[in-house]
Amino acid sequence: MYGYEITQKVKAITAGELNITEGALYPALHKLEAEGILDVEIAKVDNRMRKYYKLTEAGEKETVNRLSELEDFIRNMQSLVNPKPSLEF
Amino acid sequence: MQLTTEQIECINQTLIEKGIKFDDIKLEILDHIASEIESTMNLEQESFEIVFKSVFEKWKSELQISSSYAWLGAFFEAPRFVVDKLVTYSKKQILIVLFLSAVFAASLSILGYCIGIELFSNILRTSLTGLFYVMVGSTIISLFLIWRSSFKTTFGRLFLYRGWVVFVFFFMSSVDNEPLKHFDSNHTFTENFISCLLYGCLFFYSHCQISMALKHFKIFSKFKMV
Repeated sequence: MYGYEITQKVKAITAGELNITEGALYPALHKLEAEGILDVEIAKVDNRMRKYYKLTEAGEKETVNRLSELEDFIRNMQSLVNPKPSLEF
Repeated sequence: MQLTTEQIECINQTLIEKGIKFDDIKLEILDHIASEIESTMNLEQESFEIVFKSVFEKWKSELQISSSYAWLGAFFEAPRFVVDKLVTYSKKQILIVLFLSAVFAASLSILGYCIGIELFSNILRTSLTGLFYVMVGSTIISLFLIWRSSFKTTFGRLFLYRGWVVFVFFFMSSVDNEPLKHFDSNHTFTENFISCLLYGCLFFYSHCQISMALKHFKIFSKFKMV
């Protein structure tokens, strides 16, 4: 996907609730590229160049790890906010 | 509605005027702005001139010139995108240099005691000086090629700005083998460790400058393939 496509896709998937600004998007993409999580391909589209970003193999593994960390975090927060009633006195 | 070559050129020139001179950054900002203009023109049925103005107004804060004294020096000014990218890269470089120098210093200090520090330090000095000569040669060639090239990248710019450091570090490490001259059996393990750590910092920082030049050439070859 290319930069503009990412912003539009995020907007469409979240029904406009999440709006990524360009000022946040590109520094994040450059950081992930430097970390080896994203790979870059350049192609000529219409009458200009376009930079496509895709997840590397390491990036795909990292995505799974980070999503799992996020799920754990949410589960822990939920149990902190709504603790299960204990039967012990 | 697809933009014409003249309209794309108009966006290109405006970006150059606003300080986005580096091809690696400019190509994606140009594509983003062009896609946004095309999409808005289709949705609102407005002319290119009107949409062009409104889109650049939206990008105003992102294209503002800024700097980062601590990471890039007082004289390096560029739009925020460029500064952010290079600051992130510089921070990563410093961490790599510190980590590699610490590993280098620890390994040499331990090995020096196991093998025999005098013999070991002579081999070490000769091989590291040889490697430094290779790095200085690569720096001279890279500085010349990047300076002459009409293809500008953020990494190339930073290399032209900082590449000379390799010569200073080479001079510091060559003149009387300054940091490593204390690496011998007359000194304690800690003193030898610090000598190696200092030399490691000079060596690996110089190596990072070369890898920055390599990044420039890698981006250039990707562009040439298109």
